[in-house]
Amino acid sequence: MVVNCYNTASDAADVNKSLTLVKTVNLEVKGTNNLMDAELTITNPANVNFNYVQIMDAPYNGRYYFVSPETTTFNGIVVLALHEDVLMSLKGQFLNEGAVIDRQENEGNLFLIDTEFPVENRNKIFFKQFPSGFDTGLTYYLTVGG
Amino acid sequence: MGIAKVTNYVTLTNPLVPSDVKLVKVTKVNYDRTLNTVTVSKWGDDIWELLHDAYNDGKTYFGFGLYDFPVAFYSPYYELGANMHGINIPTHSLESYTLGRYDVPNFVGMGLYIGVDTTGERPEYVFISKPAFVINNEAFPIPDERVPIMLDLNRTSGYYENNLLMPRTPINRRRYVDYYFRDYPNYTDEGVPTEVNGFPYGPDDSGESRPTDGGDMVDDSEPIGVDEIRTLFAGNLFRVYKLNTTGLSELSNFLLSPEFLDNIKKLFNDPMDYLISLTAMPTAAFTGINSSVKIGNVNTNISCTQLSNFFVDVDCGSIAIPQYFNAYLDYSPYTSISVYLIGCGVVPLNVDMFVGGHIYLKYRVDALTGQCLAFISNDNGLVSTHSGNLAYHIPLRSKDYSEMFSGVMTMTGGVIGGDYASASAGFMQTEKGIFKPHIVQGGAFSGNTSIMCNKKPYIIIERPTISIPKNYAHNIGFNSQIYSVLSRLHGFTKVKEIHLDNVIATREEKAELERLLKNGVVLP
Repeated sequence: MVVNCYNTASDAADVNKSLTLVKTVNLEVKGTNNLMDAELTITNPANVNFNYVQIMDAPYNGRYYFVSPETTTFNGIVVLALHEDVLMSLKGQFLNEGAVIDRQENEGNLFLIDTEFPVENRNKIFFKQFPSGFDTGLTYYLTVGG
Repeated sequence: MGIAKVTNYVTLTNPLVPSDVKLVKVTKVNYDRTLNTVTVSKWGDDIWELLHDAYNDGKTYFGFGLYDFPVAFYSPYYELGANMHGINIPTHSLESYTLGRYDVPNFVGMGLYIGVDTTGERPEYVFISKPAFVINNEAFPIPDERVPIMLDLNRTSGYYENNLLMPRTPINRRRYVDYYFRDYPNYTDEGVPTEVNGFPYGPDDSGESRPTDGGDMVDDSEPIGVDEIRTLFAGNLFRVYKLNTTGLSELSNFLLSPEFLDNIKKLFNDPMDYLISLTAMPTAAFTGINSSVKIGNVNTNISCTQLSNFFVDVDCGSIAIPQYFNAYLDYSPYTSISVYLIGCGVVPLNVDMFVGGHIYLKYRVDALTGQCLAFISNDNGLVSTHSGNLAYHIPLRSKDYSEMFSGVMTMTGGVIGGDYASASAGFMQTEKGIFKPHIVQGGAFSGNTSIMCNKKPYIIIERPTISIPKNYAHNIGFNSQIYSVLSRLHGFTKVKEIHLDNVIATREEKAELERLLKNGVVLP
């Protein structure tokens, strides 16, 4: 199968990963029915200089996979364990879905009570005087009958 | 596009927004219906220098925007003086710019659009405009809340093509900042977040019913003022004289003079029976007519003011209570306000009634008894009253003194330091699980004690301290609770609920995707 081999330093949580193409090769891919996990067999360990792949052919159809750092070597043949990056693989579909957003970097409503918001258990005290008040001196009032 | 008053905003002092942006005001925009042109004029005095710098930086462009999209556009990517789509912009002439020809409906309600290039670390300038729109020599001032200025936090850039701004990167994270430098964080490309039925919802394209169904949610509050003072008619039963210290001294001398005693004894066994009370109060605001003190039918010839009304209002003014955080922390139970009222003590107020507005304080004082009523109002009207006493009762004879000791000189409630009996009932639990006792900081002063207190009322505001780590928004995000298509959002996003009905994938893939979205992902 045609496999694009990449290197990426992007965080796994990034939907759009920054990829650097290392090479495009034709390799044997052993997968599972759910397409989530697969194995890649490489004959020369020196050729494993990538950490991310895209498998172009069916049934993978361009899905993206993380290359597990744990590899198995048998008689000089390296077996790489792959786990699908569903964020990259399905971004063209799920980004069009609507969702109720719990937390957001830019669309926060600061008037919602936020238990994650770091608030110290010490308060600031402010005093403000009204611009005017009563006299500092005294005035006398005499009440008389009749 | 519905534009309504937006209440959920953050200020430029918010950590999300650079604090060192330079603010520039624009004063006027002209629209010529005949020529169908828009002209910006009367720039602020300093705008040329700033625009010049912005131009040299190559990071700032500006134009008119229909809230979410500029229809007129000018950018330093184009040389000044160039003929841009038929718009001739004279070199170095920013006094009056003709930016383009547009249809009338497209223009009404627009504001100045400012974008900043992505190449900059942060926006160099934020242009704040409150233009008085002039259409065919008729001015149409735009209400503050409808003057949108975009602060492009993503430093997006773009180019102009076929009368449309073509962004080089997706235009996102734009923000509207109104004249008060407030920022609308819930902006998406749908437009400024609208306030639906009083709820400051963010943009929502679901079209589904709100949880407000069943109630009209009509904000029809009516302002409640304080009634005018009414005149108390006492006929000739008694009179109240206002005296200064000199007058009081003369009066005491007169009362002990033989002439007075001889005259008054013809009518009373005890001349002091004519004197009802003598009080001292920290206000000379009572008004009346110039007169002399008369005791019975005896004229003392001591000049004074005979009060024409026994009530007087003392206006202490107002104090602005701005939003300190522009967040839920500005409200109870996180922020609290108390007010020290002379004659009444320190009383707690409901901070929710005042934040974002003012506290107004007015006293009404009764000259006969010294009783006072403090009226506390917010911008909408009267919200609470507190009674007390301002008078120091000066004994006119030994009997008065003993009565005063037994009855008048009382003070209720606790003093500063705390009433822990009520504190036990006043514990409150914050969302963080922090318990704070509500401690009564003062009681009502009555009788003679108020004269010893401060004469100027003041407020005490207690606010929490926030400690926001760097990149908090990017790593944790803010509480959002909006419905949105994911492609409209950018940056860290944690989904609360999503149905992946239209995603063609295996069951395991969908489950993994949903799990990741609920844990938080970074959207492009």
